[in-house]
Amino acid sequence: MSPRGLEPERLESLLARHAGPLMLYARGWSETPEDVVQEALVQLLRQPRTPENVVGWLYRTVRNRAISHARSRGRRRRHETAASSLGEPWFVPTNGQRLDAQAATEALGQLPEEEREVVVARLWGGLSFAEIARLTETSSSTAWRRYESGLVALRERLGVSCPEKKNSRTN
Amino acid sequence: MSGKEELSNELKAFEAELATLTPRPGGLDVRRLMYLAGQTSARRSARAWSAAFAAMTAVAATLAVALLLQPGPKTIEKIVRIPIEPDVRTASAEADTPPAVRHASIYRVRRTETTWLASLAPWFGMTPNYERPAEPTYPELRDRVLAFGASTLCPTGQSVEEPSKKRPATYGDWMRILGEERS
Repeated sequence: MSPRGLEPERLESLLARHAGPLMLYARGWSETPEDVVQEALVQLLRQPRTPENVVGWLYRTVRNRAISHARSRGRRRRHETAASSLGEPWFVPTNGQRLDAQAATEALGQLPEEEREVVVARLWGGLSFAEIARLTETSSSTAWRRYESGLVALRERLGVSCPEKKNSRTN
Repeated sequence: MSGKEELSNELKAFEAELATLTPRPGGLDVRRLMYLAGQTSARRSARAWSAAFAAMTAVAATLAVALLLQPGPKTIEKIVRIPIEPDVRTASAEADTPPAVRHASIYRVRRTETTWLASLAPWFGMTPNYERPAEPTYPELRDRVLAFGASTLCPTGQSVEEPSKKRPATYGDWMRILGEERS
């Protein structure tokens, strides 16, 4: 714990870097990820001492709050249903990209919960596998396995052609 | 564990491609968050001042209580014996008087008491005309005899011994007196 609280400048940089990934992370459980992330950030600001690993602390808080929200409201559904009901993509659509934001949203939404949270935390959150293991209360190897299988499933659902895959299989 | 090295090249390429997607930040109330951050920061500094104020107040109160409860200056009674040079005239007069007589007379003068009737005299604007010498008690007599000898019991100016006779001072004097009496 840091003896001082979170300065506004640090909060600003945290929001710029992690607001989107945290929202994406919370979407796996909650239909109102904005509320979950907002509450987690407010809770962070009200901490008497800033946690050493602020990002890890935020992901854990968002996870706990999102699960708690889903349970208390009785709205925990399968994430694919939640994803289709949202209507808007989870990613910022851009024209020049090969991957479509809406397609990526649907593919991510269809992933199993365990794989999706590892993929989001690793790929967009930048957490290490050790941090993800602490977050999900598993081992690092389990976290990595889930990550790999999540990537494979996403690639298949997005229909990304992988010539190297054929080569590797033939080899 | 760094699983990245174990990913296949195709997955690495797909991972990099996927990472280009930017998650939608959503409708976070950034203004409220920044306001809360500023408020928290200000509250911390205010809390520090409050803590300093409370600490100084506590110190001041403690000092005030200590000042009020402080005991006064301690009085130490000490008997100091100061040798006094005896007055030459008094000393010579006392030396002339036999010690037993001297002490007995002093004792008699001091041992006076006023009768109950005389004690009422001042209430009626009268002056007591006499003071009766008090009779010594048995312990007083005993102490007097032990201290100064049997001659103390005699009236002032008299002595048990005959004034003509000299008291032997030495063993030789005793033997000489006894020899005279036998002869």
